Amino acid sequence: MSTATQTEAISLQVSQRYPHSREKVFRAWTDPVALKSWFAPAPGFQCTRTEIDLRVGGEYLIEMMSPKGRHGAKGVYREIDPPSKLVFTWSSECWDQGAETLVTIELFAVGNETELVLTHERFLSEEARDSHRQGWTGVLESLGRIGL
Amino acid sequence: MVQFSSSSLDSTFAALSDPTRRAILAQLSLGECAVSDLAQPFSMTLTAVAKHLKVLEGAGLVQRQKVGRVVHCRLDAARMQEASEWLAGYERFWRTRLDALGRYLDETPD
Repeated sequence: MSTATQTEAISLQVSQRYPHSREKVFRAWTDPVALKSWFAPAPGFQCTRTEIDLRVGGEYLIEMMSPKGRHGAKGVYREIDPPSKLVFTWSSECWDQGAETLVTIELFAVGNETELVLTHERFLSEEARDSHRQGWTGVLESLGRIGL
Repeated sequence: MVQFSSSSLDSTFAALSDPTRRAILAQLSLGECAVSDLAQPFSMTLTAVAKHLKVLEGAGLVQRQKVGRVVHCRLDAARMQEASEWLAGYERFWRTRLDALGRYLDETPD
């Protein structure tokens, strides 16, 4: 992702350190059986189906059951660079009404450990992107300024 | 997780993407204001300010009300709350997953 593109999105970032190799962490995201066993962690949730077509342009599907019913996410792989980077679109009927967002997983080796950085971006519509002038950091700062 | 309407969030983000509109929101956060008073600090014509207000109103961020011959505006913060909740909701979602990934990795042989 270029910096220019990132400033046109609203994004969040979370990271975590694991005492495991990048290869192992990368596999957990890209092997359908592995993904199914950890992706629905909340009590009452169950991951019922995962499909992974691991190639750029290939699709994935994650289906979950919760006490409230069936939901999930699907998308397309944009970048696959084992064991350091995985980029995929993310669209969830349940949470985003199907709006397409982008998830980037970056894995950094820190000694024998792996630092995972996950970035989730929501892009503006074409129209909004054209009229856009400042980064979303500015927006979030202004949200803070007016006390939200 | 809270559910959001995608089109209303997009219009919120679009309305917030302009620095002048953000400045107008900051001004309105201090209190209700007449449109004519709002135009002064931005050295803009009334027409230009009205244009920005229309976008903000369309996105549900500002409410306009005519009192006699004066048009008053006030901030409607619920929409901005919705945008920041999208971020907070997904942050919780991913943190929970990354914790679960850690447990999976610890329990799985290399």
